[in-house]
Amino acid sequence: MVTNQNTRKILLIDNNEMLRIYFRDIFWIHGNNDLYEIDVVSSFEEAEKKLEYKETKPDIIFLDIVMSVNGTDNSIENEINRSLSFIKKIKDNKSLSDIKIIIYSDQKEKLVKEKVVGLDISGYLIKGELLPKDVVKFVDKIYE
Amino acid sequence: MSEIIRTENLNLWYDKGKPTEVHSLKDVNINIEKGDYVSFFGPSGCGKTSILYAISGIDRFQEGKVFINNRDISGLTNQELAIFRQTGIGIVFQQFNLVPSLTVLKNVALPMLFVGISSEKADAEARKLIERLDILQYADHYPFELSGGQQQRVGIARALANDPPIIIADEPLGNLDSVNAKKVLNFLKELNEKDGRTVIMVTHEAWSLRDVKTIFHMKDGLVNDVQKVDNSTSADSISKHLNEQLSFMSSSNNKKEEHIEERISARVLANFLLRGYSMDEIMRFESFVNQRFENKINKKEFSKFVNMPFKDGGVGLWKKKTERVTQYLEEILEEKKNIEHIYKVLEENPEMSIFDEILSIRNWVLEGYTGKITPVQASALDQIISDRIRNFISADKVVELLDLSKNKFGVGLSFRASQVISEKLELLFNEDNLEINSENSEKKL
Repeated sequence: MVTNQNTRKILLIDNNEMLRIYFRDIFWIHGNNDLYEIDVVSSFEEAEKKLEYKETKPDIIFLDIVMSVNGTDNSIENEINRSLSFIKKIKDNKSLSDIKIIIYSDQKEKLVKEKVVGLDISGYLIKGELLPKDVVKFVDKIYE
Repeated sequence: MSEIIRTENLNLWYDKGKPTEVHSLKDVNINIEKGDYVSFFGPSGCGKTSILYAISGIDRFQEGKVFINNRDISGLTNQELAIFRQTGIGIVFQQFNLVPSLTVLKNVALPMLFVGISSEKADAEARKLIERLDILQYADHYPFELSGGQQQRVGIARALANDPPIIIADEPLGNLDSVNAKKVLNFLKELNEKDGRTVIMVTHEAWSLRDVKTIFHMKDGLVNDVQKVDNSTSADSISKHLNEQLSFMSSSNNKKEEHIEERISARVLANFLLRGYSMDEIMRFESFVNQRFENKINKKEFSKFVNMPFKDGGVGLWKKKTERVTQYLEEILEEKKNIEHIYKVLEENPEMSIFDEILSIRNWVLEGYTGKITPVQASALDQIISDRIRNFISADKVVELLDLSKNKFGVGLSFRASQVISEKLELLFNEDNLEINSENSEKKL
């Protein structure tokens, strides 16, 4: 894929396959495929591999704060903690800390939102409250 | 503008390899620019709906490619296609296709629920859309409680759910009267000009092309002409192409058309008045009737054209027949004004008495009827006319009630007289004015 220098790389981490297709395609459908290069993965492990290389390092990460992982304790508390430690890991790493992190989740409870306060995230979006184009607009606005 | 849709050597067959095989699209190569308002225009069966469905990912084509924003959709998985259809394209159907068991609000909210929008958010967005389409007061009504025009506005609102960049309208005016058809055209124009959406309309009616910027003329599965339309001359260019097909009237369409007048059922009328004539003659006659209805020609010109020999661009009716049909047409135009008045009155107050108007229509439909009508029969006939105008009964029901014996509260006319009177009554309505009327007209044709 030929991308120009102004193309922003966006990485979505979400374990829902339909959501991954949806997220990638709304940027295509709304005609922003020249501006953004969308990559999607289903786990933090896959995401970490992307972070290792300059070519795949994203400018923005969208992540669901609650994602179950096979073979582990999948209590909501535990899932949130996994996401929080992933975010901290990025923000504590000088070569990655410029990556903008956006929580893209179904969790709208105040208690969950409070957990990310102070983590230098660039947005907390509720999936069910955004029309497809709103997601694209949100990203557009970051780079206005 | 940049390109949003492109097809490359697109071929689509239905029932390929079977005796019933139809080659619906043949090597179609087109480009549609982002923000354009285009129309696929052509006669029934030319492939215009097929191309719409190919672009929308509804029909899988067998050969060629369709690119949306430079991505070939022929390679999409079913899941990807589903998301593309739900978020990329809003489709307005001729038959509205609303879910009868859902309210207006829920019909519009439904496509948003499919892509994971919460029901609170979907309802709130749906409410905004139906307000935009000026049908907020019907939010909690069911589709069957609405008129055809209102249902189509629900259809447009639903197409706008998920805020798609492309709007596709498949014969969107087919089931509407002229007033509502104009409203729909205005909405489509607004979606194109104000919202910046790419609008694609399929139509076989030239008058509905008034706002389009690009016309793909189709015939037999081929796109055989692409016409860029300058708004200031749209009517001219559309007429020009039509006249090329019909080879007549080249001089009368040079003026800018300010607006397109309402039409009544020229086709039904043409078939009614020219029974036994060839299809070519009927089609040409229909086009003159349209011109007359749209006031592009006057009574004298109409008479001259239909009397003129066919080879010279006329219909070739004999003088006596010409006089008769001209007179008949003028009477219909008069009565049509009456009908328009009735609808206006009913719109303002549905309970308003329209006795005088109905009496006038009754007298007109009974002109030429040689039998005797008793006051009881006249009263029953008035009721039937009133019910038909209010769209309470279908054209078939009119025939049935006219034919039904007086003992059973019908009018008690002969079946033949019932048919003639019903056909005459139907001529007063726009072809697509009444949903049930439209279906009936199809049967007649």
